[in-house]
Amino acid sequence: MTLKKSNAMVPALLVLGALLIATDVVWTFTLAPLVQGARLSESVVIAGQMVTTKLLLSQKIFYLHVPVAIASFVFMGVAAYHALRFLVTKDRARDVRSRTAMQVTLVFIVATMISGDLWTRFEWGVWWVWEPRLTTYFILMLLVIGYFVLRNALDDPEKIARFAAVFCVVSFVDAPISFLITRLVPSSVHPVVFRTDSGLPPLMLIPFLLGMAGVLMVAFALYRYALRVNAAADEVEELKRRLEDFDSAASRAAAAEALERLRTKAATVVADGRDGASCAAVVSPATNEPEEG
Amino acid sequence: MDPILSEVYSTVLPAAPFVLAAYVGILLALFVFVLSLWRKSKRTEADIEALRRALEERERESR
Repeated sequence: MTLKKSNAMVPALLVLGALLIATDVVWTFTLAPLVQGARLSESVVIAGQMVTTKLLLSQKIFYLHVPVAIASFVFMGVAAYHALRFLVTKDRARDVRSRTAMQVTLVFIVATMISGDLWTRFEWGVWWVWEPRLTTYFILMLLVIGYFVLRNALDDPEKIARFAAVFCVVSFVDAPISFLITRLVPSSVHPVVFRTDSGLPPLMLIPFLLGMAGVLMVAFALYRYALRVNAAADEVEELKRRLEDFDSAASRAAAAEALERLRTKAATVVADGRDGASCAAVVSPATNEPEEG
Repeated sequence: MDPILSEVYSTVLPAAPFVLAAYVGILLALFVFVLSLWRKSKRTEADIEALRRALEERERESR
């Protein structure tokens, strides 16, 4: 797909993604059933169904929290892919793509952290727990922030691109670890979301999948928009550099011209001085000691 | 309200502000990003225009 076609798709993707997210949200709060929590002291029949546990509203956070977290992993992968391609090809466009994907990753990580922390605060009564998934995800956030700190700490554009690409590829190692940590270190806190035997009823699975598709579409549209803005920002830097080159060349030319003028003037002064001295040599004997004969 | 029913829904209402805040937080993060991109885009467009004009001017003067 060409870049032009891909750019033309951005508004359509953004609108479609926003519509899918809106459908997800509406479905989540209307049709999706509440999940069950702690056991009741005695069972009760609600709308013809036997209810034996408390009903939890807080779980509805996950219909958007999980897709947003998945999007952050996906775009971290995109950033690492372009960073790797940059290291192989030295193509600066790859560096811009990698940097842009990292920006999108950071935004989705922040969104995940906000929604996750609000759930943690309500369900556990604390803002933070050093649980494996939370810890590895927190490290991922620090690595992404570190990526931008590194970029701002250096001056040479070549060095920035090379060091940032290496840092991005190394940082990406944490993404699959964070994603798979619920399988590697089983914890009762974070469930394994992607599995074939999840047993989610269609009324819960469909809005989740709609949200997943919508968030990925919005993320891609934001990535393309950010890419265009970053490319324009790079063009500004390039134009500034050309203007500075132009100005310094003009200054050098003016300085060379002034130097040339000075040299000419100096040569004239020296020549005049010599003429004056020879004239004086001829005149002075005549005036001081007149010749005889 | 029936005591069993109130026990069934005992966590629903207290959770509502947190659920709402989570959704608003996600959308707000995305909105802030879009807003910052839009502002940067406007700034860079103006910069590109001004720099191109300055460059053309310099090139005309040098001829």
